[in-house]
Amino acid sequence: MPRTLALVGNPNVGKTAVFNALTGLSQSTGNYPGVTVDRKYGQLVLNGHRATLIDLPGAYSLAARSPDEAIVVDALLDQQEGEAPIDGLLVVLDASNIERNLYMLSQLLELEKPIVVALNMMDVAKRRGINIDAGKLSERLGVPVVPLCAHKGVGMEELRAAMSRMLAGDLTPGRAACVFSASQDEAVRSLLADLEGRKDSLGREVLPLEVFRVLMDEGGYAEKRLVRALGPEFGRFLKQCRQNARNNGSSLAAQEAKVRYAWVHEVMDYAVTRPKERPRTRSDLIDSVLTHRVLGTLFFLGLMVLVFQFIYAWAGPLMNLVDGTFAHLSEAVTTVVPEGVLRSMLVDGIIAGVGGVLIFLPQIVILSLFIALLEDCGYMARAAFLMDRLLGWCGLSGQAFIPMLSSFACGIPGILATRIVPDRRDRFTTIMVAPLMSCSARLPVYTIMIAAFIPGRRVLDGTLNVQGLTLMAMYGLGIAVAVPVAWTLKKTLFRGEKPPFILEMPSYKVPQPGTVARKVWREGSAFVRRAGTLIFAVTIIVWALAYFPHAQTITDRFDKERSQARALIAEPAQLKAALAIIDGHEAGAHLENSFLGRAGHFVQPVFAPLGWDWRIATAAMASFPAREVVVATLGTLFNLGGEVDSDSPGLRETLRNATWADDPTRPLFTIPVALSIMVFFALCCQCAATLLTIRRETRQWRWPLFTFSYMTVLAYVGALITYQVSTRLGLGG
Amino acid sequence: MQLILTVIIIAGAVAYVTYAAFRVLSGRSSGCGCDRQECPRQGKRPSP
Repeated sequence: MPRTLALVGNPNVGKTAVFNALTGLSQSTGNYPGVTVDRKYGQLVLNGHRATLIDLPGAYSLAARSPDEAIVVDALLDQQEGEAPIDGLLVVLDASNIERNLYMLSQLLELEKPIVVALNMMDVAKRRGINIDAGKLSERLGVPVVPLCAHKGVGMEELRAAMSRMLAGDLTPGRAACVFSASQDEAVRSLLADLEGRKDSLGREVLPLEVFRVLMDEGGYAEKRLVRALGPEFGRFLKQCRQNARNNGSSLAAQEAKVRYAWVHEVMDYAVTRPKERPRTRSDLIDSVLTHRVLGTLFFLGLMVLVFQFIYAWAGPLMNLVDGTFAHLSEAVTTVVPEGVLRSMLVDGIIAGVGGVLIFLPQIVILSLFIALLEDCGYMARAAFLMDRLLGWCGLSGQAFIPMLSSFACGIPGILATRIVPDRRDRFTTIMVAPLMSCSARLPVYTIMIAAFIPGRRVLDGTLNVQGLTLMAMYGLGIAVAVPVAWTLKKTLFRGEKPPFILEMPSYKVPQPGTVARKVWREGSAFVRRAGTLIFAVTIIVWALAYFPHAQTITDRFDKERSQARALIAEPAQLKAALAIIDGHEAGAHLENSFLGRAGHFVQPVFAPLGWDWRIATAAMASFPAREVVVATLGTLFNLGGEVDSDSPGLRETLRNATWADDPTRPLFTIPVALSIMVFFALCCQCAATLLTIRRETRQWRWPLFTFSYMTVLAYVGALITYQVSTRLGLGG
Repeated sequence: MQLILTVIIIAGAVAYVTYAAFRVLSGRSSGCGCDRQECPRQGKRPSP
């Protein structure tokens, strides 16, 4: 029967790197704590033995407080519903932080399961003058200890051999050596006896180790779960047991830490030698600048300016290439497919729609590349440290920054990443504001508006591009709005003190090309897959709604006009121009009469104060389930409306030349309109998947409804103010 | 012929969007673009 093994350890010790190396999978890794917030499964086959390896989120101890730590404790105590019990543990320790890592190992040894210890980051430990005798450590712990440099693949063979012994059943549980006081043992026994009597109402048996955690972790996850299930009476009994266990001493948590660290120091005296004073490392030197209040903030801002400048500078030629490819494809289809409904669907619907979205692939790839590089080199933890001050102002801790940062790629992993936030109120506040961060799906909207309407001139002696600065401002807008929103939420719905922020600073390292490439590939392929599936299908539906009913009366009316023009105009060039105008009017009349056109006219008055016509309003409404749809819808609507210039068929040029239907001399898209569209999309929660993720994480419908409502109001008011102010400032030309 | 083909494609698109919405609503897809139960960005999705 296949066994189930768990991979455990402190955050950011390289568990996922070991997991990937053992299973051949490519799960996300990052050089900052909290990358893994849920279990990941992989299959392991060693010497004919099969096993399921579960990569658990990182935890500093079994005293669970945040949801990701609760997942670890539940898995290790075999409390996960529908999951097989854990047969053995692969514990990854950071050799360069051995003292803190041994603390959790002391708890894991008490689980009485076979353990293999992987002593990772031996190279970093060596550089810091820390020498660990793996043989002596193994002897002291009673389990195999394998020195490792997982990112270089050093020691993996030895690790596989040790794991193979565990799978063959050759390993016995290690030696737990922490001895707690008699009063604590007595309190555990009392609690166990009480819980034995409540087995029926609880519906399960409670293990001694779980009871120990309930006793020691005041206000922790294990206590909350039992009190919730058994009621306040049990809570009072537990309080009494704690008083007895404390025996007039310090808090139980402090007593536990004292006992465990005494054991840790005993083990270290036996197997570890290290310099008396911690040498100043290269990471410390870099940190003295990058985490400095002024210099660090300036570096952060400078880095962001550079990233957005590069996105513009590098993506331009590639975008033109994609644009050109779709223009050729459109021409080819026009040549091959005879005129009619199918050709319209292919050219005006699919190619204009999907092509309009795919053109932004280069920008998505470049942005993902920068995020992956910053994550892998270890800078993200420093950015979180710097942001602690800003977030502290609104009552959140720097811990909230990591989920917010993940939301820049996609809101869904960002919301899942809030599991590292221990306090429920803080976690919910972070969930509510995470969708305000500009995800990659907003990038196409910003880019197309900026490319079409923001002048491409350079400032500061030609060093900075205004378009790049505008893009950065749109990304900054999400953060700028998130701060007051979080402040308001923390003062009203989720009132509470700012929790302390403890974040481990990982060592800087050269980004691993493989890890970076995998992340970029993941983002790029997810974008292409979405364009090729959902956006593709939605585009067809939007086209159909914008094409039908295609009334014959309208066609007949314009056919009549064409006949009249042919009869009246003799000069071929003039006739061609007149026919082109009639074609454009016919396309516009069909579009206005279509199902989508009628719906658009119905909702347009709501959006009129934002400077939008019915086509922009329709595109915005169509993109509520997924915001990228707006670009595809605009492409389809303006193609069907006959607005495409045959010399420059790209959507950017089409939008630049678009005019109001009732006044062909008045440009539809002006700078105020473009800005109001960007602000609306920056602040609106147009993503059904994000809302469903909020429902799953909060387990209540009211929070996704609240998020959707407040963000929609915020988006409308923001777009209204932007349009009205910029128009009054004379930006409308 | 063109109209029949167009109607078939539209029906296919409607069916796909309905199917995708059902997968997200029933928790079988993360909806973030990877379209797999095991989201490669964050591991296994949370249980509903």
